[in-house]
Amino acid sequence: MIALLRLAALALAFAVHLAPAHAQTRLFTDDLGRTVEVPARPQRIVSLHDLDITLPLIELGVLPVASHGRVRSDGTRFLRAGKLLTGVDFDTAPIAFIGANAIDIEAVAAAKPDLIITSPTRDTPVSQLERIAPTVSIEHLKGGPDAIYGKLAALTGTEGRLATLKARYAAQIAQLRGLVDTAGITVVSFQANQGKITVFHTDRALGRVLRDAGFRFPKIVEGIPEGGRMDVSAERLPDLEADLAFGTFRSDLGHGPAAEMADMEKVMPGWCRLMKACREGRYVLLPRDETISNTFAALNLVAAVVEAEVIRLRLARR
Amino acid sequence: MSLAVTGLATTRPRRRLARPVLIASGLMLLLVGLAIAHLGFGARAIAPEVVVRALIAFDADSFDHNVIVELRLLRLLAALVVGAGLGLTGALIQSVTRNPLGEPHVLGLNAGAALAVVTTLTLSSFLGPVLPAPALAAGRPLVAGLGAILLCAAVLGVAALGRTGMTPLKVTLCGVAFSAFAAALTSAQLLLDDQTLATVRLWLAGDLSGLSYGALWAALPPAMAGLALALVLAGRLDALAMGDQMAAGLGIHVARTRLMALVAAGLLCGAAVSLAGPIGFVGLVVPHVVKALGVRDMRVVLPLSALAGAALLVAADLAARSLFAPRELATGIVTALVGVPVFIALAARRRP
Repeated sequence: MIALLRLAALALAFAVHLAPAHAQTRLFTDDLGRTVEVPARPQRIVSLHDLDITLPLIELGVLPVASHGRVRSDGTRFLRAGKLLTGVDFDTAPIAFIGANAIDIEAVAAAKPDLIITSPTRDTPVSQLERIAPTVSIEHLKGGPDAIYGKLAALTGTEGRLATLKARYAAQIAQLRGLVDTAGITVVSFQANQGKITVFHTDRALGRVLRDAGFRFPKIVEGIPEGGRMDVSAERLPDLEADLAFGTFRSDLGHGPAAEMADMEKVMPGWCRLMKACREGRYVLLPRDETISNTFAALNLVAAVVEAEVIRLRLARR
Repeated sequence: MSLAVTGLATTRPRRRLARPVLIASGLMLLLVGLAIAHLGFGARAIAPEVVVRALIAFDADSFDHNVIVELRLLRLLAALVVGAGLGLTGALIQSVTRNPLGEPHVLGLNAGAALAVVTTLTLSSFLGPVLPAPALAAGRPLVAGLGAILLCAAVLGVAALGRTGMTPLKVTLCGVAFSAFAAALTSAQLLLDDQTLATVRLWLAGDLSGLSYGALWAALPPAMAGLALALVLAGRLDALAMGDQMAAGLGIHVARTRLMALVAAGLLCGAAVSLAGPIGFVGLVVPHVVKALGVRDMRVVLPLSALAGAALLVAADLAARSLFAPRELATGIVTALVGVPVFIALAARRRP
């Protein structure tokens, strides 16, 4: 009898030990204004955006069980910039693939999530996702890393890790500001887009670093709403003149800087000869994977590149 | 008496000629005016004398001269070719199918051309060693034309099945169904291949930006061949308008004429789509505008449709570049904004 009671007590203790992670919940208000009951410590997160949700989660020390990803022409799947910025990808970690442009809802359900994180730009309806697990939607185009990481850290209880990441980035920006009077330097970021030029208000990590460091932007850029982009005619190229002009090339597709130069040439033949910043060697091309994400790894990389370019510019002016 | 009869006999053909010549002159004037506006206005303000100097004494180091010659002039020439091609295609299709709602976008020519181009792009990684990129680019108008012809042939073939034969309603319904089918195949390829999607996203909306003179020269031979074939067929298309039996009684080979007209439409539409993507509704609106001016003879309708199509697309492109400057709209969006209400009005007016 005593042995039986001991066994029962042991089973109870074991059950109590396992239960809290799943049983404890709290309320979270997402960017669609919905208040959702989410697990206090989610263990099985499914992410519907590789760049802006999966990668930040990995940086915060949380590995999602399944994620949106991309598909190369040869059919291989990858997290955009995953390996480059975090060392994690579908072939290096136990993360299931749930789709690229279209999300496979059965794959989401098969991952048995206790929390689904999506974004307002995803086509998959939240009403469909929340039948599988509690679902929160996080706006990934506005507010930059501060807003996204703040919400993800709150959801996963990783605020301490976030504070460390922020501190390192703040130190880098402080160093950059200390090197030059950034307010006296104009910068711009644009890229070729099928015959037009896409100009960004804040081009992800690249734009974030430029804005946090206090650089000035041309008037046409300041007219774009925060987080927005604008497709303009090549006729407006002179409006994009700046002390430092940044562009990016599709490193994720295996392209090099020459591909972006060729694409810009299609937009405006002879553009580099006609644009002063490019003609005088002040046009800087970076791999898009290093600039497009909102991760702190990307911010750190870009801050280092911008610092080097600013030093080069100052030396050239002397 | 005999003098009076002779006088009548000479004035009637003159009157018959006077109206089309008047309309053609008016359209030419409109086109010249629009072309000047197209060269003169844009996202960047350029003085008229600079525009003229760029055209007669081009300075490669002048940004404004490059804007005029490399951007605006190229875009104007492309708009002329695409607009004329689509206008002619619409007139041919409406005549062959005797369907006032017939146009490249509705009868599957645009969707067939787009599917053929996207499939070629998707396969380009495999075709690379056999067909280098420049060869693929040069062959794009023919690939697009072939896709347009095949899908439109399928539409007409299926619409001709059954006891009632090829009625306008059946042709329209088959066109819509086959266009949706081709669009689904195109979307499936793009969803599976991010790289191709990035390449053609704007092109699929129908746009005239990012062209090169090389692409324009590549599109000209099929466009000219389509134009020549259409003009050769014009007389026979008039006979076809009287009904298949009447046309056959006049010695016209009905099936061959239809096939030749379809080939001409495919060549014209292929050239247009290869340059600007699937731009809709120009082919629908233009023949109706020409016919509203009182012209019925296909030998006159076809050249006037080319002129009116060119004028409409130049105007649409001017609007796409200027309406929301410094932002630019895709040209196809503007033509759809104009064309959809016209399509609805025509469908609503049509008696059952």
